Amino acid sequence: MPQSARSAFQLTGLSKNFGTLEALKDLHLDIKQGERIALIGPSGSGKSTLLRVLGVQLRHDIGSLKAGDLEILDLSQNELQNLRTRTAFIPQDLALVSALKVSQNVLLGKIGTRSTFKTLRQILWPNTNELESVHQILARVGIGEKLFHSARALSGGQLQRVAIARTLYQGAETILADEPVSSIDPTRAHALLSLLRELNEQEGMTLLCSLHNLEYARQYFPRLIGMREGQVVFDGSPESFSQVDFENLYTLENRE
Amino acid sequence: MSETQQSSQTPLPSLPARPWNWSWRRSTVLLFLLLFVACCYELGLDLIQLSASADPWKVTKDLFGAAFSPTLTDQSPSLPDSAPSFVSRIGKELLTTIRYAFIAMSLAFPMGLLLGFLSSRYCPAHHFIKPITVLMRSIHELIWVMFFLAAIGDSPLAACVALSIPFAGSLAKVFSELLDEHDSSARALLKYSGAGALITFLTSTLPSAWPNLLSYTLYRLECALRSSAVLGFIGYETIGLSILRSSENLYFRELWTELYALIALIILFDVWGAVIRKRLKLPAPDRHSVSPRATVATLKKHRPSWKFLHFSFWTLLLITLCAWSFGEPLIQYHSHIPPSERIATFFQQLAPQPVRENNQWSEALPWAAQLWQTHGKEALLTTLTLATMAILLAAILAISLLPLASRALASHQPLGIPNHRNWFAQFSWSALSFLVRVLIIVSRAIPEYILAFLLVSVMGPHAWPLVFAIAIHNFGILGRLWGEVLENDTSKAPATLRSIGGSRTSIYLSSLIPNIFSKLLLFLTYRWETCVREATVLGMLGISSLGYHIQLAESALHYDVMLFYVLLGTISIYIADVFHAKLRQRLRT
Repeated sequence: MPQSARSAFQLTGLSKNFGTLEALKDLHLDIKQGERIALIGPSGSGKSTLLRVLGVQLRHDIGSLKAGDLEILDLSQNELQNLRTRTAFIPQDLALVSALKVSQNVLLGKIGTRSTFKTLRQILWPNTNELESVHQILARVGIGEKLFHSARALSGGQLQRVAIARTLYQGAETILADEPVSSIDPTRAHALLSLLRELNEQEGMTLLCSLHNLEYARQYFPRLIGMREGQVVFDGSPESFSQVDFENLYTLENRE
Repeated sequence: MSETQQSSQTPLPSLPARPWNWSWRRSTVLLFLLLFVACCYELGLDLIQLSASADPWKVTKDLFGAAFSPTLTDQSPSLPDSAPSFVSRIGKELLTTIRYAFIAMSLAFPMGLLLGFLSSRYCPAHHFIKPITVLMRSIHELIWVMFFLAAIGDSPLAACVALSIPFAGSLAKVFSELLDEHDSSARALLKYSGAGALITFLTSTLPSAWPNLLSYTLYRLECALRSSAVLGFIGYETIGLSILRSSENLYFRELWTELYALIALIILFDVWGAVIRKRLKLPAPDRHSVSPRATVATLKKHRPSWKFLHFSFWTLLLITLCAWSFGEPLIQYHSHIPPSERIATFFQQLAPQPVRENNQWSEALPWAAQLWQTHGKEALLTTLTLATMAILLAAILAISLLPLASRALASHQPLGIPNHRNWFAQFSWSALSFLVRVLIIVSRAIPEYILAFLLVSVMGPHAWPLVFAIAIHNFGILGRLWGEVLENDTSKAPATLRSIGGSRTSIYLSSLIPNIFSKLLLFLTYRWETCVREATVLGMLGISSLGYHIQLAESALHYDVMLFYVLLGTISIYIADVFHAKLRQRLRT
């Protein structure tokens, strides 16, 4: 794995509240560039919130979050824009434009770096070079033949590949994926996670992925971060994840 | 990963054959562009056609300059001391406007509910009832009023009944669609348990569709207020009468006070309706914590409820009762001819002239063909051109300003994604968004008839003032309908594209519009139908659309000719309605 000594994200005492609810509490994490990390934990533990804070979709309330050497809260509008174009986010529902074709959805990956006019031109009249690029990426993720298909006509597994193709076309350095395999069958889940692992290993992309399935996390990710009630309760390799850690993470509290 | 890196790593797979780049969305936009050009060609581009002696800029300056100095006193120097004050006159006319609107709606609502049920798929006779509701709503309320005036005289009740007919037709259409589209598992379960069709309808379908039925009725009430105001232009003492007189006498400061009063009234009901609609969509709040062991009576007393909805219901009911009970008598008759004789004569006059005179139906067709050749064809073409141009202009305006009115996009944090903190930008976005929303509300608050009347005085009596009046009003309506579609779009794609740096405009054009395009198109065709009705009736301001010939025939007491022109409009709306229904069906599959 081409992991660098440089940090992709550094979190120091980071907290995020929604009204009276403390979604993230005093997080301290160092995420290196090129790392492949699975965020695990029960529902409502703060995994999605953490991904959204890292993708600057939410602003944290307390503490520090650095992307590279830059403090997120101090970024100028241009720096923030630049960071966004380098970070891809794959939500659970994939966030594809169902009314557009596969090629158009992939072309939208560069929406942050292109003018409105160019974006519109690409969507309406893509040139051969652009289509070649998109086609090559789609072929790499295994659905080259779907270039001109409508996104509506694709199966769930194929749509996930389109979402990944969009991040590849974007040229993102970091992929934040929020439960990407929660609604697909095991065969497709393994295929997708293999693909993400391959991209991380070959391209050196930093990958953070929230997962419900612990087996997938153990099999495909060298680092696991376990979260419960907004706090990190485990941070280590799959090998060091013990039964005690599992119980700390998932056992239901006795409310009586 | 750059595109060039990618190319150097793996051999390029062969590109699949590029299909012909046909897209129904692109074709629709292209068709609209062609229609726009054709309408411009048909109407010409001479926007101001005043008489040679008139100074268009002076008229405009006088009219719009007075907007900044409305008055609360009469501008007429010749009023006697005993005349009621300007403010009390306006107040009385506003109350009459509200009164007629409520009477009309109290008639239209039960009628619409019944016809809605009868024209839904729950009623076996819906194929026969539907055309009746189409006929009811395809004739503009002002033309219904003209028919009623001719048949039974100028009684206020006649005008209210006339207003209620197209409203009942519109309510029936929307009600039947809501009932038809409601497809709940609860209904299936009830039917499976052996419940009859009526009880299933009353216990499952109707309660589920009820909030939407009420929402639409509230919108119709707003329309009824506008139509009631326009009744002043045909002599009823609503606010339109003062607007007409002030305008004719060039008392522009009075005119603006009256317009502001009308706009304020419509906005009041608009906002009231919006607050009610918002609550109808949400579950009622549970304000009391009641013990699980409390009695049924206690639980009932403290049940979750919206106090505002109770208040609104009783207030609307009270206003309706007052409308029926107080004020000038609703039934008045000023003619020396007995009512029965007058009605009988009117219906006789509706028969085509050759039939009436020679009792020969075979001559009716050549008679109609001659009317079609002399004025009918041209009047229908003018009406359709006015309506098409107006809806296209309204759509262009609405699609351009919609992002600025959207709470999601016109924000310093578009689609909820935070930006660099900048209080000035935050304030600017809030202010701009507020202004555009106000513009949309005001645009739809002014009745198109009054707007056209004012624009004709500034631009001269030709087609363009009518086009602009219909376009401005429909921009307000489309702004609201399309705005709701935009706000209700639940796709996560726009927010995700924003999080990777997409600009508001790029996201709006490349993600939001494609997603909601079919809904936008449905509302556009629905409003085009309304524009045809509006273009018909605005002809009464002296422009040769169907309304001009309808009015001409009515004033010459040629009711057969009047009916011919009305039916021409009705047929075109019926065709548009069938097209709209087919499109709706197609876009849903």
